[in-house]
Amino acid sequence: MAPASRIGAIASRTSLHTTSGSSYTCLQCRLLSYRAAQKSNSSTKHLPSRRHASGFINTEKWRKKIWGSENPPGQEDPYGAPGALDQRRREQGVEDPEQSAKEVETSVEDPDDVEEDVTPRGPHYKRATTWEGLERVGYRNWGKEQFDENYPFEGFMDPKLESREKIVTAVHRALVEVFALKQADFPLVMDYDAGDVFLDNVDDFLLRLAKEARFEIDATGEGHLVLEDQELQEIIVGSVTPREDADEEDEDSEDDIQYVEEREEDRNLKEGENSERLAQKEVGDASRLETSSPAIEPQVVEIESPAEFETSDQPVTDEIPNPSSIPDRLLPPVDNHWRNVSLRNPEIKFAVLKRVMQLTGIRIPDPDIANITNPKLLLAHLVKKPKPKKLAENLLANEVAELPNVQIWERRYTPIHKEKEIGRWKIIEQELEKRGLPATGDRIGSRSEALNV
Amino acid sequence: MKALRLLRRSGSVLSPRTRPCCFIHQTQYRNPLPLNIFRLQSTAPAQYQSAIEREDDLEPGETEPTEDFFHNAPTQEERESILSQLPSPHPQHAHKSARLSALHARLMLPPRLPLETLARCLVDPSADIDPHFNNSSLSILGYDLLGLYTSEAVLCRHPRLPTEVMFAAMWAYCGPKTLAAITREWGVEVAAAPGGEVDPGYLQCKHIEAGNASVEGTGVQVKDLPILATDPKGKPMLGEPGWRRGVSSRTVKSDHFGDEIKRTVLDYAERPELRQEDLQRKLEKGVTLETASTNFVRALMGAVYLHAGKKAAYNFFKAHILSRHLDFSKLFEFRQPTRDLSRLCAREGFESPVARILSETGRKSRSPVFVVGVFAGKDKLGEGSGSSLDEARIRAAVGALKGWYLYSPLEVNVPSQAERGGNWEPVMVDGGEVVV
Repeated sequence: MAPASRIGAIASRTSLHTTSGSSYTCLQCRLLSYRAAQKSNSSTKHLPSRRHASGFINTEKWRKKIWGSENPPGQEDPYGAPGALDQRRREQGVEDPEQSAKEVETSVEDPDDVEEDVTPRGPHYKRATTWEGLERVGYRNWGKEQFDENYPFEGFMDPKLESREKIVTAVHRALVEVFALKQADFPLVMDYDAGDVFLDNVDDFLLRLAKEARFEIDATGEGHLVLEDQELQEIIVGSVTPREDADEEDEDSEDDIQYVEEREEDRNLKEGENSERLAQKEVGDASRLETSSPAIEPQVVEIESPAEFETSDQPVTDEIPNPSSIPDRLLPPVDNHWRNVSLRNPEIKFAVLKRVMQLTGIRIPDPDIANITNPKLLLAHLVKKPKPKKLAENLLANEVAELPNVQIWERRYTPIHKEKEIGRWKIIEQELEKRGLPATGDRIGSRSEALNV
Repeated sequence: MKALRLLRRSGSVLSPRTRPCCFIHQTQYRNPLPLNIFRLQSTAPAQYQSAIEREDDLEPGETEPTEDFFHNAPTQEERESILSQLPSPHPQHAHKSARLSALHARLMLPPRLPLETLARCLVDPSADIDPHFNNSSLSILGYDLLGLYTSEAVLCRHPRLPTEVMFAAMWAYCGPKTLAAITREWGVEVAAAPGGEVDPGYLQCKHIEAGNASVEGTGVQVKDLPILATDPKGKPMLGEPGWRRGVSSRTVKSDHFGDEIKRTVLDYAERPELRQEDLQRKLEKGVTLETASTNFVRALMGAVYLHAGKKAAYNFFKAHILSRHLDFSKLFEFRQPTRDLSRLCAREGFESPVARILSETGRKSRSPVFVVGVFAGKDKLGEGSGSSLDEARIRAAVGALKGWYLYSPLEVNVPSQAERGGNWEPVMVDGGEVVV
């Protein structure tokens, strides 16, 4: 009886037609009343702080009456200040919470109004209907990627050289430089920032290194650098010893950013400036050498005149050096003595390895360094053996390929090729398609795609 | 005798090869072709070039501009799709085919015969209906040349051959069966189906369906189908009831082998649409391998003649046709040799032939042997042996007849030799067989 009477009460509130005297309510009415109750509940739930709604009990009036004065003491609302939400709304200028609730409702109903209201959009704005092409945000590793874009990783070494010839040339150059320093009795410390080995005007220098620097191995197995003239040795030594001005710069500004800027600037320097700089550097180096080693004659300064450098560098201005390949004349000497020069002396080995790493950007793992005893083994770490040519390539290079009655296939000559040659393949394909069978294995995917489309 | 300038006159056969045929209609809506597919590489100079006389030592490929439409087609797939739409291989593919060069070298063809023409010789009209790309024109020329060279070689060497034997000899030297055998001996293989993607080194034709192949779904053989047995007009095509034709009518109205010519030049002149109809029927039905091979050898003969001249053509004929051994004495078939012999003797003014026993052995035994000689007066015309007197006599008569008919002069100058720069000497051609 209890549930029925309760329902009856609700029904009377919602003006339901109930039979007088009996507590029975039909199912239809029960459902209606239930829905009405739901609706009223939901409306009360959604409305914030009903207490402040107009038309509710006006406590202010009663307070005035109780205290008998226009200004009764105490808070306006002793059971708590208006809620934080109400306060904010008041601040934003929305007077009535009900009104704002209505606004929300209308906005939900009419999205076009919202579009006009919310933010001004460009003339090309188009509402997206699918997620295709939209920026993805917040997936896994998203944050890291965002960070990496702005702060890309920069290793401590230069980018690796890719070309095999360049690496071999670089090793040869390192070897020559180290041995030149050794023979001049300089400390085996070299200027790190040598510029791009193959882009700067070191063409002439490399050429002379390649042509005139030879290694001789004596009975004890030690290698010796043999240079055609003293002048070359001086140039080599001068080019690799640390510059004084560079040192000063380093001391002045230890800031990394400045250093990076400096390097970039160096790289961007024009040809003419470069040559000038080089010439100046040479002059500076020569003067430095003069001070450091009394054995070198002062004539060197005159020999290394800027004019000579300009003339020697002339061809470089005309042709833009191709970074992917270097001309034949810059390749290391064909004679392979230098590959067998001993690197057992740890000092030389360390210097050579360091220089090679600077020039090539390839790091050699520490455990392997112990096993490297000559440049040949070093090269084995740096360059891969060229991929052996395929039989077809060899044959195509052969004169046999020029014979008119010889046909060389680069790929396997499959039964399909055979059938195509005699014209039967199209018939086979037709017949297979007629039966709904794939002609080849790889066409299954494409067939299904075609069917879907 | 002044040699003819062949290249100047061969413009109709070696016309610039363009393809304005049905192929273009087929393909122009599917995918736009590069424009210069219409001007394919030719074995003959184009119209504006035909006025220029080509240097004799130059090879044809050296002077001709080779247009490369393949470079315009961007991708491999597009090229392949274009090629596969062509009814026969593109002429430019001739240089890529090892098979074709090998064939050229194997036949020791003159270097002036370009590979493109050799490739064209291998395309039967049933594969490509366009006369600029098939071997029909070349094979007509080759047919006539083969007939000329063979007939003069046979007739001048054996001036008294009967007409029937002459036809049989022609058939044996350059008939379809022989030419098909020659094609096989040359190592020319046949493509399964013609098409643009096929290697140009294959002989390309549309195969006629085998007569004993069963029609799909039924147990009936193709040859038994009523449709095929008759031509469109309802006349029976196979096993056509002929009538007896005399030898004299054959010499006038038949082809080289004494067979009736179904469509004469006059027929085509009266009704030009007949030619197209015939071609169309051939394209639909296909041809036998024998026909295709025959056309190929004939076309090659014509091509050698056009590109390399008469001498090379005759050498080619001598090397591949005339070198084949043919026993003429096996070609004879006499019904009544004794009567023929007596008629022959009467015609030639000899005394009437008399058979006499020369020797005999075992007359009473199970296997006697008689040797009989046929004499005209005191001259012995022939001698034969047999197990009976009649057999020996007939053999002797056959021997006498063969001895007469197979006379061969010691030194022969064929008429075409004079064209190739030799001296003209009239050759003896006898009256032929006796008419009984």
